[in-house]
Amino acid sequence: MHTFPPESSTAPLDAALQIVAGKGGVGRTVIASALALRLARRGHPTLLLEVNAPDNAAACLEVAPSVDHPTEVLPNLWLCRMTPAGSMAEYALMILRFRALYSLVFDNRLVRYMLRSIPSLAEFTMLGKAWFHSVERAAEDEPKYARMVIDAPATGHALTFLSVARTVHDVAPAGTMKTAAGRMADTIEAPTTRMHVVAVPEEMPVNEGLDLVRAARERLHVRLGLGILNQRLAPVFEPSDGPVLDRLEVDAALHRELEPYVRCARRHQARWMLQEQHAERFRRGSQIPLLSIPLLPERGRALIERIALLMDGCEVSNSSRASDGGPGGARGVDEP
Amino acid sequence: MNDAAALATMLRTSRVVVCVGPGGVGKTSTAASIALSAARSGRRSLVLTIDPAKRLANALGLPEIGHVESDVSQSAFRAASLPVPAGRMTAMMLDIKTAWDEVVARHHPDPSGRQRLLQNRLYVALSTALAGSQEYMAMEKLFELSTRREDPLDLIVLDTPPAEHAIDFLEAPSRILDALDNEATRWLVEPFQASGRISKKVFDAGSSFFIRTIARFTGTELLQDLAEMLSEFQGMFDGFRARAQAVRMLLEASDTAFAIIGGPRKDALDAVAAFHERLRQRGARVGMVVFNRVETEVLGPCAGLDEEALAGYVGAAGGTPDLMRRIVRLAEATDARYREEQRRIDALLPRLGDTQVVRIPELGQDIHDLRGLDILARTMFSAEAPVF
Repeated sequence: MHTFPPESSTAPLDAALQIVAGKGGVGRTVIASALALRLARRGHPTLLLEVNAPDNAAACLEVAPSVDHPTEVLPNLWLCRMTPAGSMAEYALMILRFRALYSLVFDNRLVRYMLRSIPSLAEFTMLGKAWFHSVERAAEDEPKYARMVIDAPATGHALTFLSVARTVHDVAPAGTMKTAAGRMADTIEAPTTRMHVVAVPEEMPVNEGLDLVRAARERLHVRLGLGILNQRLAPVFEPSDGPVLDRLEVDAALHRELEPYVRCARRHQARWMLQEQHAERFRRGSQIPLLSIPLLPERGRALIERIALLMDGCEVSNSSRASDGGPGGARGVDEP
Repeated sequence: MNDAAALATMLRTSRVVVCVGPGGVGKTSTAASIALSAARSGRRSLVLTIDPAKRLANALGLPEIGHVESDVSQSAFRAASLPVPAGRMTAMMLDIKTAWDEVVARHHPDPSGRQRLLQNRLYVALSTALAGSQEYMAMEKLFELSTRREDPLDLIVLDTPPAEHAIDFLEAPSRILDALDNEATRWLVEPFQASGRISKKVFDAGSSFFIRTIARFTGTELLQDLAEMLSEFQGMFDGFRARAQAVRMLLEASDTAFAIIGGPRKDALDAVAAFHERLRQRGARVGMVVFNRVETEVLGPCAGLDEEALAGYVGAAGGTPDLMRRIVRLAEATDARYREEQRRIDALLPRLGDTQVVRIPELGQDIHDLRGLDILARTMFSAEAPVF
């Protein structure tokens, strides 16, 4: 069984292989990019892999896109967006060894068509490529990448992506594919692998996050890392402001010019409380440590840098229950 | 731009509304509330989702929605203190595996071959994993539902999986056909059909160099399975093709409308424009573009108290100058966000032509039950001011 360098820590944010999953639109790529940047900054050669998504990570990091072949886009940080076709080529080459043979057969239009009708082959070969990079060696037999972060597809497809290796291993007849699938499944299920579940504090993203947590426990056999609550709104008002706002609301009925301010404050409070309910539901339902990332004004690389720093700040409090889980900053990891 | 009458007409005259858009913009809730609006106006509507996550059940406040149509019952409306619709609304979530099995059961000519196919290892995986499988089955289901005689439907609202491109959905039938039935598959299937398996002879013969090389990659048995599966599909392709053609006509019909669902975020806006362009290119009718969760304006351009006056009010209510500043900053930040979002949407309008554009304000509550869907429906289809 191939595992990552044995010296690597299993602390969630430092795990050798980190898979970032969650509903579409919750900021998976932003979180994955920040995780990878942080690891790179700490001196670990890190590979950030995107699974068949548009070039989002490249845009987040403000670097040139890097498709199918890992490129060092920042010091210690390699980026690779995997495509089904590119992964298939690499995977086939690993087995066939000769590019000429590969080109002759796999570049054949008819063969390409035929391979498309093999279900899950795209996910399978992409996972195969991910696995290949996880055991790839540099010149001095050092592992080429000390850390890998996989930006997984959105929920439904993530489940396929993460379960395909075990499925293929279980159903495929003995042979190259079964062996390869077994190794991939072992990597996903390894003690040095963690799956982080990203959600924003809203109804459906939290529901899907909880679905992922359940799937991880019940059938994927992947170890859970952190629950990451992204875009958590900071509270503008303190509990002690309550009575003042109540009185202002009464005044607003008489003074129309005051009314919009009070309405805006009330709406903010309502949104904030609602989001806190969802955050709490995620925390209780997932039973994994929670990391809150506040809603931040930055965009692009600045946003990634900021989140990477926030991740650093909270790491030490991993085992202690944070005071209130409030979102004023990344206050720490909330143990359930 | 939001002409309530035009939207109501679209809703009344459409038989199919296909909701497309990127992920995370409330597509499923929007689809459900379109179906709800139709039921309110007395029509018999169905919302069909193919999303593997259970979003629609969440939004409808139902514990679960499965492959069987379930009624959003009158008592559910009463329980939510909402008027019972004049029409009737049902919901279903397509289970892709079951849908494939249904198609095979209905269209495979030979019972023993049918059984072989249903038990083929690759077929079992095919149903969930073949790219485009979900989209294709949604189309099969759409066709079946639109032509059914029993309990006929006035409106089917189809919620599609999040996609980067409209084309993913529209081309699903031809892609699936292409993957299952092409020169290459026939060239694998023919030797298989002659002998019931890929004979050793084929592997040995020089002409099967391709098959041998692929077998090194996939293993021989997997190719056997593949040949068996493709072989069993052979008799069904004419039916596939005929239905794909019928669905294409259905999607291009004048009583089918596409609804593009997006949001005010930049990436969602770009996706909306791209969807619109592609759908138009293909001759599809885009009935509406919906921007969900748009910020609402607090102060407006001229309103706004001067700080002194506001400090007076806050002070009289027992608040500190700091609280006053936070209240002001919050209102200003909200308006800044409102203006920015409106500016972005306005900048997009020229690319959307004469398509109806609806901006749904952030409702201040999640839409996860019938009440939420009802508010969304009223905001979308009536001229009355939205309720917050």
